[in-house]
Amino acid sequence: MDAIVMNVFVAKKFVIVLITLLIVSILAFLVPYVGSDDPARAILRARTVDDALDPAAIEALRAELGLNRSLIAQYLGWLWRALHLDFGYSFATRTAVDVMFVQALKVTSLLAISALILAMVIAVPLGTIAAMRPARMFDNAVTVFTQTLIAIPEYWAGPLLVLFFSIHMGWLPSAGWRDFNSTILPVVVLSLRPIAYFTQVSRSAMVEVLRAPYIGAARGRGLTASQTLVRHGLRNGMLPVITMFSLWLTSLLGGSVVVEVIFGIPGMGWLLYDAVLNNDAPLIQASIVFIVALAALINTITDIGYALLNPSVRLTHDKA
Amino acid sequence: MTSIVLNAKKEVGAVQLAEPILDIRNLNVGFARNRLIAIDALDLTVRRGEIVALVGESGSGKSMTALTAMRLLPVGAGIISGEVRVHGRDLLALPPSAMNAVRGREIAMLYQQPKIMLDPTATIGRQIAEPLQIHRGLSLKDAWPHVIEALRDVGIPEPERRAMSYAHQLSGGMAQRVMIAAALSASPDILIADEPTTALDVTVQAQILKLLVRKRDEASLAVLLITHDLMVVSAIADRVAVMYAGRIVEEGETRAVLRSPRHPYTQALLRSSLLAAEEDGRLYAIPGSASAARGLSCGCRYHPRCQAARSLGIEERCRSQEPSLSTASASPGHQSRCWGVQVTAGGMQ
Amino acid sequence: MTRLDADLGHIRAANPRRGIRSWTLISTRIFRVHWMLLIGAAIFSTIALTLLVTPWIAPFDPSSQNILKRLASPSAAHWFGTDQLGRDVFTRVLYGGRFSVAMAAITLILCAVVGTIIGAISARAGGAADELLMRLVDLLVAFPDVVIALFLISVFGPGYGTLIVALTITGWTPFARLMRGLTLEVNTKEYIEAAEALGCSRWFIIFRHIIPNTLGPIFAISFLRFGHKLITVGALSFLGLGVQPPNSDWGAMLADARNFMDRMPWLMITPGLAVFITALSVTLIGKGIELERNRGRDENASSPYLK
Ligand SMILES: Nc1ncnc2c1ncn2[C@@H]1O[C@H](COP(=O)(O)OP(=O)(O)O)[C@@H](O)[C@H]1O
Ligand code: SF4
Ligand SMILES: [Mg+2]
Repeated sequence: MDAIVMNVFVAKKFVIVLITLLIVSILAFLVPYVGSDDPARAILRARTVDDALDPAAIEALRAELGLNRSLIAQYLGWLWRALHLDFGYSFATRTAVDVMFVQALKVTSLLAISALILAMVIAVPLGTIAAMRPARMFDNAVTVFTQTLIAIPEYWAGPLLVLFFSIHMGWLPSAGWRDFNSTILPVVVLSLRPIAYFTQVSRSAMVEVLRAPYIGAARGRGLTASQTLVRHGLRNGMLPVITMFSLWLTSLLGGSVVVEVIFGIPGMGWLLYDAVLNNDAPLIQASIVFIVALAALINTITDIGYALLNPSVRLTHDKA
Repeated sequence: MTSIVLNAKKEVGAVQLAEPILDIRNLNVGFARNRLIAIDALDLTVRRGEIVALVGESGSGKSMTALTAMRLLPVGAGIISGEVRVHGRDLLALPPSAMNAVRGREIAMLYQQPKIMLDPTATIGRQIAEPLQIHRGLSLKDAWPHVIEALRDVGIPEPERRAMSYAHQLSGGMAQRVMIAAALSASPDILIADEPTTALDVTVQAQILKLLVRKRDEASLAVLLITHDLMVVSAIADRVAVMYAGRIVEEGETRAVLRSPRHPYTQALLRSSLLAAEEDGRLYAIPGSASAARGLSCGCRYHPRCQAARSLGIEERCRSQEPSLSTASASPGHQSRCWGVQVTAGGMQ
Repeated sequence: MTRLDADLGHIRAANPRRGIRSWTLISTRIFRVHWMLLIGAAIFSTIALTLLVTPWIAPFDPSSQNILKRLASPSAAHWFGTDQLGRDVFTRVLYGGRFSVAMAAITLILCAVVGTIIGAISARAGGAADELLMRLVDLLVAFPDVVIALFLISVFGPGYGTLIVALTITGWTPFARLMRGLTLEVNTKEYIEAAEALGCSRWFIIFRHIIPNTLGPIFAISFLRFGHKLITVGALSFLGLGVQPPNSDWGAMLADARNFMDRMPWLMITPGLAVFITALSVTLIGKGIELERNRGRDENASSPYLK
């Protein structure tokens, strides 16, 4: 029974992901065509400093890129290559897009995962302690603290920290992504808002969990308050935080543009920012498809992780 | 069902001599916020090897009694006065930290909804092991054989496999068996079962009751069985206490109370129960509601609903003076809290 | 005193409740206003008023340059100092704030309207339409705001229109989710069924019953999202994709200030502080509304199982 329900659930999800990817791929493909600029012109403009483009060069490039074929033929060709992870070459750098992606993704995923883990380590205890006595002093203080974190812009916190820790104290490098020290400031800045949101989520989840009947039953078996918290509270209270973690991970892997630009980190955000400034169509197309595919992947992994943590989810999920 | 389990009842008389395990004395519990006295001067004793049933309509304070004994009161509830003695030691006087050593070790509890009382993210084996880990200092590994044994003992097939399953994979009856295994794994002396079979099918009900009786017999367990089902009472209880609006209104040996109920409320309860329906085929509903009784500060709590008071013509006394618990029949320990009983027995007035 | 009174007094003594906190008590009992809301509203109304009258009170012209006075420290004449072109930073913070706050407010209102309508339709329509809209929400949530804005800017080029469209596309989803949930809840109420039985049209029901009954939570979340909008507007300007020169806003000022931050740190402090305080004040208003709505509900009680 469980297995069948699970399979139907997985199959349904899979179909939805496929359809989404297909639609998104069409939208992504159209990006260079919707813009005001002709793709061939855009390429040449990205490659040359000279603003007066040679008409012959434009024509040659159009033929080379197959831009004279019908849109559908071009799309199918692009899709076919995309399925083989071939997204062409960046207009600006002439490097293969997939190679650029792999490098950028390595950097960004390290940045994002570190920031989110840091956030979780801080947020879960904070949220839990706040939940133990809701609407009291500590809880109110935590609420103000999370509101404060949410209101701090990254493009202010980043430079301020650089000002203090790099320029004033000289402890940490102000930019780059080389060694452990250079990762500290960007990770901290990137974790500020996740800390706030994770704390809010874990607090409200924990308020509910701590009043659940099974917590009372655990006390009834003789567990102390803290034993109950550790054995039965945290695990259940963590579930919504895990969901939130994956949402944030998806979102941050798409590129934490501001932080990467501030600290000069060669990740996805920086790549995208550059691509947009240069009107680098292949990069933009690929990143749209990539972000959606990644989101689907992380979503699936989260579902599996969630099911491992909470066995009853396999049945309840489908009904919802 | 009744007949199957009835045989299991202990011989009357033998029980009376046993030592009291749970002894509640003059307990008063209330909610400050809505000005409600939930338990009103309650006295109740459960002896070793005895099953005492606590019956009454819903809202009469049965669960609050259980939670007070466990010292796991809901928010807003406060203990006004009284004692809950286990082995002669007053639990209400213990510091909160000392209660951890008592719960699960001396006093354990079963609940109406076993499935939601189990942590959905922990295997049932781990939860059964907890009392052993905490009270016996065993590691999870050392506790595991006991867990399997406990599961087998409460009648769970394939205990090795079942120990690894989760609450949502169990039926209600299975979950209640698991709760019994968990409650009894550190062999407490008194088990408080708060409507343990109310949410279960009739056949499963009988099995769970049989299991409770067996555990009582094996371990000389004292059981406080909370229920509003007189069928259950007549099936397994040695003694019964009837609760109305936070007070005990009648108590005594099960046979005496059910055969010759003296308090008008007990009589009404009996008439409204399935025990009575078996005879005339129709169910009787007690007129009025118990909520009015909560606001009363003097007189008999039952008088707004009591027909006997009217037919006996003692309404004035019932309204103004509270009757005390007094001997109701020749059966030892049979007492009731009713002016009418005292009038007819003592020939007063 | 009856027995009940005596006993309950005893319970109160045994369970000491919170002591009387006079000024919060007064504010909550009389005005039913949470202190966070009070503080937030006080700060934000001051900011809003200042920005409103900026053209009359600003000490300088925001774009008048004075190369002789460039990069000056704060002084009596220039409270926040001057920037690399000798412009008065205080004046520029005021004018920049007009742009930032107005942009955030416009997009926020658009998001609230679009999201609320889509959420209500989704819930009322149900079935495939609902599924489709919610999948769209899932999809949009996967993209960071700034990234969607980047994509749109890559297609349509930078500009205020693009900015507003981008921020609306990324921002309507929380409103739609909330509204959908609220509508499903309201849907079960009798008066909707009564309206349906009377043959009222779907649109009539949405506008006449559902929207008025869900306004409270929508208001709370609007205030809560404002800070986020303000920060995102600033982020795009910071990246050079928002406000375009010669205009400026807080984000653009921060981007400029970064080049001089080792020598002239105050250039960086004031615009950022402005974003921070404005965002925080509005967020506090939202949180205050939310907490006030939940006051006295169960979720404020601590667990009975942790004693
Ligand atoms: N959490 C609570 N808050 C306020 N009143 C409560 C709470 N729990 C129980 N009560 C009140 O206490 C009385 C006794 O309830 P309870 O012990 O649950 O009754 P029973 O178990 O006999 O059905 C009832 O009148 C009920 O309204
Ligand atoms: S004391 Fe009076 S009112 Fe109360 S039960 Fe007896 S007869 Fe009825
Ligand atoms: Mg009950």
